[in-house]
Parts: sequence; structure tokens; C-alpha cells
Amino acid sequence: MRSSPALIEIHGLSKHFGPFAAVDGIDLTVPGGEVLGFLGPNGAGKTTTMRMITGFLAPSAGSITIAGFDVAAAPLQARQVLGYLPEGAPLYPDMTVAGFLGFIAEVRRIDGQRRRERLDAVIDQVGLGDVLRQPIGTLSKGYKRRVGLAQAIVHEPRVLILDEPTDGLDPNQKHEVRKLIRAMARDRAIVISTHILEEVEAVCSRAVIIDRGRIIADGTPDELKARSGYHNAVVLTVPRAQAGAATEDLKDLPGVERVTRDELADGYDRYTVIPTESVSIAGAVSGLVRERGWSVRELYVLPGRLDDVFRKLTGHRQSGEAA
Amino acid sequence: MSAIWSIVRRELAGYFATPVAYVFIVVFLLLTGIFTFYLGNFFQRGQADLLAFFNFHPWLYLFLVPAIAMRLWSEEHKAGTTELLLTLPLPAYAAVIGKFLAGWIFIGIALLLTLPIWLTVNWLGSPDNGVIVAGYLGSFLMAGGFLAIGACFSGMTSNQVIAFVLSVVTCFLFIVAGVPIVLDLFTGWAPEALVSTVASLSFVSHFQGIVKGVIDLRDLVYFASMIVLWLIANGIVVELRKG
Amino acid sequence: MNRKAYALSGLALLVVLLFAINILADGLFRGARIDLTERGLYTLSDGTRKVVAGLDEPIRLRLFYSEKLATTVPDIRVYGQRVRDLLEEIASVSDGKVQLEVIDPEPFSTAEDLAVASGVRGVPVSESGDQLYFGLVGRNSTDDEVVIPFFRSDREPFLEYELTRAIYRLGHPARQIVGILTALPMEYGPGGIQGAMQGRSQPYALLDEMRDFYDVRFLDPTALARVPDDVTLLLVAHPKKFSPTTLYAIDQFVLGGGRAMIFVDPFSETELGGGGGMMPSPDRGSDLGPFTEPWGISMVTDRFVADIGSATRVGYNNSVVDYVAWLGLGEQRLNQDIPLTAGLGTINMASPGALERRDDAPMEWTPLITSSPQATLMETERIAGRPEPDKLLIGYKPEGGARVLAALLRGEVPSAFPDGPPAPEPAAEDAGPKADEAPAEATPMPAPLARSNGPVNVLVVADSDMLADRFWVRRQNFMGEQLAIPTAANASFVINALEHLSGSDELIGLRSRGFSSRPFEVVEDIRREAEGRYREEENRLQLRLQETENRIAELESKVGGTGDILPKGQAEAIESFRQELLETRRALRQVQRDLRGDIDALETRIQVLNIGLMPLLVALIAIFIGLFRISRRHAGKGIRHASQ
Repeated sequence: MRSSPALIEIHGLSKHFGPFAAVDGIDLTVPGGEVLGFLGPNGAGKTTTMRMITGFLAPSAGSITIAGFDVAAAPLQARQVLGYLPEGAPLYPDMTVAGFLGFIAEVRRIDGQRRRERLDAVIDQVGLGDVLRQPIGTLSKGYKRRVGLAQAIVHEPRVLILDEPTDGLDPNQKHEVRKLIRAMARDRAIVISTHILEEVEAVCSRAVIIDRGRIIADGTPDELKARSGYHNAVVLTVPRAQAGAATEDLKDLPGVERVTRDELADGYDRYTVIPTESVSIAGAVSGLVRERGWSVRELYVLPGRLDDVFRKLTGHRQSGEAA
Repeated sequence: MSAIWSIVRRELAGYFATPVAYVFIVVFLLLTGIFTFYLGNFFQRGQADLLAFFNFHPWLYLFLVPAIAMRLWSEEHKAGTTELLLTLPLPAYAAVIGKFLAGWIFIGIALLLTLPIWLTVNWLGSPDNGVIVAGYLGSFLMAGGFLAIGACFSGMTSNQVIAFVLSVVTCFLFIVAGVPIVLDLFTGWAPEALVSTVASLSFVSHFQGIVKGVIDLRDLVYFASMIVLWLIANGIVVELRKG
Repeated sequence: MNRKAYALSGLALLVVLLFAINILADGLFRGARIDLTERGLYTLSDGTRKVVAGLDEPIRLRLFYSEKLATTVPDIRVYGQRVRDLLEEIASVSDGKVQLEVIDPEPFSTAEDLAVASGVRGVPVSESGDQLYFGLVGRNSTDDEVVIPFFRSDREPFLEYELTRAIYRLGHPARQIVGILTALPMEYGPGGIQGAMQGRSQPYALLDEMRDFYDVRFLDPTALARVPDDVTLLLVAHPKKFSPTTLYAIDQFVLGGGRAMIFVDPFSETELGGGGGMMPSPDRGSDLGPFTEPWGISMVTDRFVADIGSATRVGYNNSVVDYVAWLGLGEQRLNQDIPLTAGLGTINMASPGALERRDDAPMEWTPLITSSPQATLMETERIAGRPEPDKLLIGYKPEGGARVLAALLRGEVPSAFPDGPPAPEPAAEDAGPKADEAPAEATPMPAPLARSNGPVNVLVVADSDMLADRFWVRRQNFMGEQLAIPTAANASFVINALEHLSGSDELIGLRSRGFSSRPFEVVEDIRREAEGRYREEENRLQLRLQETENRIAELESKVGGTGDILPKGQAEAIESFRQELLETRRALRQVQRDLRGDIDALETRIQVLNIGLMPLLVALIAIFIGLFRISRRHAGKGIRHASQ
């Protein structure tokens, strides 16, 4: 075992279901302190990859190491340092919350005093104090998700795998869960799969986009956004009366690719100025404004949009191909 | 070992968390009572033994044990908790054995609750209690065999009804394996050795051997091999199902 | 793909393993078992081990068993396995003296011919008429042969006994001779010699059992001067009207160290009637006669032991009642301290007598069979006519405690004929000379013995009916052959006794098994007690019924014939008697109903308790736990849906 700051190391990971390659040669390293967002369209191989990381599925090829333990060779040690919230947060509906968490703690060999401490801690952390004696089956979706999170973190795992942790929750619940994830991120490696892009921006320090079993983009959310066509685009709102031919003027600026105009109801027009290859055009635009003396209501630079990047990278699927 | 017992405790708690377990026990007790007294002619026989009681166990178990076994895995498959269970730091066999043991203990509890009939024959006359102990042991072993079959089919599907039907059919075949109609299917084409071996795989002949009061090592080997091999099959089936 | 193939081949391997393990275990673990039965029914008994150990010459056993055909007959398959296991175990403890060969006589094979030629019987089992063989042929070094034509599974309790008996016979080809002296129709059956001449001979089944071990020779009780030298055991049954010379012969035989088993009877139910069997002879008893005095042992004459505690149930007047004259004597009534009677099962007796021992008797005795303490003595007259079991119950009162019905005697005794041999009776000549006695006539009479040379051994049984078939055996036709299915251990008792007397204990432990009937004693007790109570009531009511009917008839006859109107008083009297009659009849019917009432009530109670009690308890516990859970859940319900 070598000690490495990387808590998850994946090399050449593949999984074939018959002739179909669900995961096709993934390499990935996640160090402690990182919250990795796993992005991709449905069927891209997110869940399959996570199942292989947790040891539920055996890979067809490649290796996975969790905190130094090889998942294939030392599955029990690897699982011991790993917390997992499967897709849909499946739970035993007949068990009470307390019974269920107790069972998980028991299986994870948390005994005696420490068990009480840890249970109290996670119950407090995810806010389950009110429903401890209730059968899980009678709980609301939000509570169930919290129970799922609680079981995943009860043993203070160094690696946390969360498959769509906020799926199906209302905005308030999503917010709470994200807060929780951020709070836990400090020295752990957390992998979150999601197809909600705002979530990546909200909690992730790194995002990986996966499609057809392959990683097609990897970077911080900002880096990814930079790959959007809207990166460094400038939004400008001026009175329609002042700027009748503004479109033409803006288009003539250097580095401008194209300009779109939205007519707003209150007599203003909003222009979105898109640069060629994300060059900075803010200076040029503001110069033009000063030159023409437009009374500008708003003027700002767009950082780029993730969903745009996402669509751009995985757009081939829109033509109806599904897996 | 402790991991197995964690599973056993959870499964047992699962049984008793819903009324299903109690309903099962009540049905089991009612049926054993009715079979013993009405079909087994307990009083008419006038003998202080429990033959009238044990003779119906294979047929009772045929339906009741698959009913217990069907939820062992199918329920997990359906709720998706298999993924949770099998990613816990447990050896692969722990879940299979733990679930089986829980079911077996549950049947054992149901069987223990038939104690009044044993007290009854002891009050009515002086039975051969050695034979009765053997009978209970044989019945419990046979239930284990049925349960292992049921667990295996439960591991195959997320549909409890399918699991139930498949186990009942298989258990039925293992009951009637020694019956001429079944053997006739083989006698035409199969070698004699195979026919006699199929016949010797019948639950009933081994059970009846023990019920007589003799614990024959061969009967023990039979039940042990049935249980162990079906449980290994159970593990393989669950593994296969993950994809 | 690969994984799936791997898994599927794993499953296939499991099937192969299942077969392999069980086939292997079948071969390896024969005889490895724990016997949990109280009497070790499935463990080789010491008797068998001794018999096998006592073999001097090797014997060969051939088990003809159509194993393949038997796979289709579950009953035979299971029993076949049992027989085979037992034989293999016997062979394994025999030190090579018992050689076992298992042969599957397949249809149209030479093995089948061999089976048939050896006397093993086939049973057709399939539509094609294939014969299933399941029998045993044993042979010793001198080519003596013993055959068990077919093993029947309903004889399973006697399996070890039968196998060991076969081995014993092969190991001891020289047999002792039992001489029989009897006034009972043992040789030809109930029809007597006349019946035998008409082809209705039905000798006592007991003889067949005895002939398995002994040569049996009938001696003439009317003209025997001397027991032949080669006779080592004497069976005297119902010594009635024996000639003095015969009695003298018995006396001298016993004094000379010969072992005798004597069956006397205060009332024989099986002796042949005096005239053609229809008219019962008024005196149907026998006793120890001249031996009473010198031995100090006597049997109470003209009175039989009635025993409510051992009474058998007989059908009578469309109901089933206790017949106190016929006794079923179970383990509690048999001496369990000596192997002869230990664990024998049930012995049936009919109107046995009570044996008594004089305090200063020279014979020590060991009671073997006793009645229950609820026994009493009754006049034999009460059963001389048509037996009326219910009448015997009227006024039944236990008296005198348990009675001895059979006992082993041992001691040094003087001769019953201190004055030497009695003069031969001329009547004896008329009976015609018997071939058996030819040597006795030829040799000169030895000098009379006045005292025994050392202690003598005699076994006395105070009932002779127990020898008759109808009290211990049921005959059944099986595949055209008469089979005797014992219903009581009477024959085993006789064989045990002869064995005991002949000094060989080997087979005794063995025979003390089987017949493990375990009745519901509580039910029996209740029934008996209730019956006693209700019979009295019934008899009282019956008497009153009779009385009332008589009074009505009397009253009616007084006024009858005249056609006149009855005086008012008399009419009222008759009317009230009629009323009483109806009332009594109703009460009587009620009593008859009540007879089973107690038992029915008990059975219903047990049934309800057994079927209903536990389920009810479980249901209650379930409800209780359910309520507890709900209350606990509601304790923390306030913020249950807080997140929504």
C-alpha cells in the first residue's frame, strides 16, 4: 500500500455488458478535499462507474484503488473507508431509522461508546432526531434521502460516493443537502453524480463530464464554463430610442462574432455580444458606449454557461440516440 | 461471523417488523394442528407418538417455506437495497448465510411453538421422546433444505410471486422425486444409476428415515449438501443478477 | 459473457456435486448413525452380537433384492435399504463369519433363476410383469439352508429378530427336541383330529415358531410311561385327564434335571368340547395335580383372575366394553428384571388362574407375569356359558391385590410319587401304540428317583389359552400364502421361556423388542373409570326398567281380558309407571351417550388447546407489540413531515 494524497485512483477502467461498453477506459484521480461532480447524460456510464468504485460491480478491465486499497484485491478494507449513497437512496422500508442506522454501524464495526457518539453525531448532522422510531417506509422523500446520507457517513468515510444525492428533492431540501456536502468536503474525496448543472457550480471543486463511457471534459467548473460559447460575452441594455442601429455598431467591433437583440417591454433593448473564441471584448464594448453616449441601464460580462458546455460536448445525443 | 449475525438480526427484526411474520406463524400452527388432528387422526390412532404430526411436514413446508424464502432477496432487489447491502464491508457469503440463517431460525421458532403437541402426548401417554427429538431435528433439517431452495430462487428475481412459484415447483419435485410417476419420466432413457440417484434425492425418504428415530449420517449429509449447494447457487445467482 | 458462462458452469458443477456427494456418502457412511429410539430399535442388540460371535463355522447370506425395480416402489425401497444396512452391520461385526452377498435378480437373468430355485418369492410390480425379489437365503458349511421368502415392511419391528434367528439356526444346526404333552388341540387345530381328517387341519401357529428353533414331538398324554431320552424340554399344556403313568413320567423327567414348562388353567376356553365341541364340558380346568404338594405351588381352582386394570376391549352388543376375563398384560405386568420377559410387549391371557406358593415350599419362585392390583377372583361359572362382559362388571370389586399368573420355579424337590411308579392303566393300551414311544417300550425302565439330583427348573403358567392362535396371532393371506402376523407377544414368551430353560440366553435380549404400542394411558384411565361409573348406573336403570315393565304387565294382566274400564286408581298407577318407564329409558340412553362423553370432551379440549392456544397467544403478542410500536412512533410524531 502506498500512501498517497489521492484517495481515489482509477486506471483504464472498463465495463462491458455483452457487446456494449458502458464504461470505456476511464482514468481518474481524486485527492482528498475535492468534491468531484460527475456529469453526463443518462446512460453515459456514471452509475456504472460508481458501482465499480464501490465494488458492487466487478470491472471488465482496469483497476480502482480507494485510499490505497485495491477494490478487487482488498474489497473489505476498501469498502470500510468508503461511504455510498446508491442511486435513489434505497433503504429498508420496514426498519425504523434508529434500527437501520444501528444496523449499519454494527456492520461497519463501530462499537460501544463510539457507536453512540457517531449515531448521535450523524442524526444531529442530517436532522433525523424527530423520526428515529418511525419505519423508514413512512418517511417523506427528503427524510429518506437524509437517512441515506446518514448511513453513508456514519463511519466517517474518507471517500464518499453519492449517486444523484438531490434527485427528486424540492429546492429547500436540495439546498440543505448541498450545505451538508460542502461541510463534509474538508479532507475527504467526494464524488457526486448529477445531471443538475447548478449543483456542480454550487458544491463541486471539480467537474468531469462523461459520455459514452469516456471522460470528455475535466476541470474546475470555471474552466469548463470557459469552454462555453458565451464565455466573455457582454450583455448590454440601452433605451431603444438611443440605439436604433446598435446591432450594426456592435458587430463592427473587433473580435465580435455575432450580436443578438431582445426587445424588452419597457422600451429598452438587450444586446448580447458574443466574441470570437472567447476573447475579451468588454473594453471595446464599453468604449463604444462612451463614444455614443448611450445611457446604459446594465452592462456585464458573462462567465460562460455550463449547460451550454454540456450541450456542446454531448450534443450528438440530441438526435435521439439512447442507451 | 459477527457480520453474519448482524445480518441475521436485521433479517429477523425485518420479519417481525410487519404482521406478516405473525400471520405466518399463526397459519403454520393452525395448519399443523388441523393436519395432525383431522387428517392425521391423532386420537383415532391412539398412539402416544407424533407421527400424525410429522408426516404432514413435507407438505406444509412445500408452501410455507417458499413463502418465507421469497422475500429474502426479491424484496431487496425490488427496493434496490441489494446495492446497499453488497457494498457494505461484508464478505460475499455473509449476506447469503445470514439471510438463510434468519429464515431458518424463524422456522425454528415456529416449530418450537408446536411444543404443546409434544407436551400433550407426554401427558396422554409415555411416548418415545428420543424419536420425537429426532422428528423435530429431521423436520428442521428438511425446512432448511426447502429454505435454501427458496432463497436461491428469491435471489434470481425481484418478483416475489415468481420466486414463490419457482421454489414451490422445485421443492415439489424434490418431494416427489421418489414417487413412481416422476421416476417413470426417467426410466425410459436414463441409466438406472441416475434413476436410483434421483430417487435417493427425495426429501421425504430422508426425512422419514430420521423421523423413525435414527440419525443416519447419510441423511445428515443429504440435508447438509442440499443446504450448502443451494446456498452456493444462491450466491452465484445474486452475483449474476448484478450484471 | 465470460462471467455468465463461468457462473452457469458453476451451477452445473453444483448439480454434479449434489449427486456426487450423496452417492459417495451412500457408499461411505453405511451404518454410521445415532439411534435415538428409547429401546435402540435400530442398533444391533447384544443378543445379535452374541449369536454372531458364537458362530463356529462361517455362514453365507444371500440377499436377493431387486434394487432397480424397487426404486419405483418407495415403501420397499426404504425398507430394502434398512434390511441391507442391518445385514451389512451384522456382517461387519461378525469377524468374517457372516458373508453377505447382495444380488439383484434382474428379469430373465440367471440370478432370477437362482432366486426362484432357492425359494425366494417374486412379487409382480410393473405392468410388464417384472418380478421384484426381496428375500434372503442363508447357508452354513454343512449346507443347511434357511430361507426368508420375502421381507415385508410391516414386519419391520421383528426384522433383527428374524435375521438373527436365521443366523442362529444356521449356526446351531443340531436342535433340541421339545416334547409336548397336551389336552389341547395343538396338533390339528380347533377341529381336532376329525377336522384334520377332513382336511381342515390348522395346527397352532405357535408350533411353527417353535419349529424354527426346536424339533417338536407330540407325546401321548394318556399312555406315556417315560419321556424319551432325546427330549430335553417338555411342554405340558392343560394337563387334564393325564394318565398316572404320564404324570409319573413328567415327575421323573423333572427330577432327572429335565426342564419343563407347564401350562395349567382354571378354565380352558380352547379345549375341545366333550361331545363334538358344541356342548362345553362342565369341567374345563386343569391344575398341578400331584405336584402341588411336593413343590408347594398351587393354582386356585374354579376361580379365575378377573382384572379390570388389564382387561381387553371387546365388541359386545354393538358397543365396546372391557372384558375382565381376557387380559392384555403389558410391560408393567411383566417382570422387567430378567431378560425372559423384559421389554417383551403385551401378552394376552384368557381367564388365567392365580398361582400361590406355600410359605415352606421347597421351590423358590420368580413371578414373571402378574395381574394389576385391581384384580379379583371370580367363579369360572360366570364365564362358562355365553360370555357377558358387561355382567362381569356389575359389582366388580378389586380384591387380594396383584395375582401371580406365571412364575419361574427353582428348587430341590421330592418325587410326587414316593411309592414308585403307578400301575399302568389298561385303557392306555386301547389308544394304540404310537411310533414315538416305540423306543420307550423297548428299553427297560430306569430305577425311580425319589428326589431331584440338584435344583430343578420349571416354569408354570396359569393359563393355557394363551397358546391358542386367536389370542396372539392374526392370519393374513399375502400373495397366496398364509402369513402369521403376531398381535401379542405370546409366542415370543414361550420361545423365550424355552430358551431360558434350555440355558441359552443368546436370543433372549433380541426378542425383547417390538410391539412398542404406546397407548394414551390417560384416555384409557378415564375411559375405564367412566365405564365403571356408567355401567353401574346403566345396570341400575336396566333393573328398574325391568321392574317397571313387570309391574305394568302385572297390573294389566289383573284387569286384562275383561275389557272393562280400569278402576281409576289402577289406570293412574299404570300411567305413572309408563311415565317412569319413559323416564328410565331416556336416562338409559343418556348414560350410554355419556359413556364416551368424558373422552370426547377431553379430546375436544386437547384439540382446541393444541390448535387454538398457540396461534391465539402469538396473535395477542403481535397485537401487543404492534400497539407498543405505534405508541412509540407517535411519541416523536410532531415534526414528522417537517421537511415537506
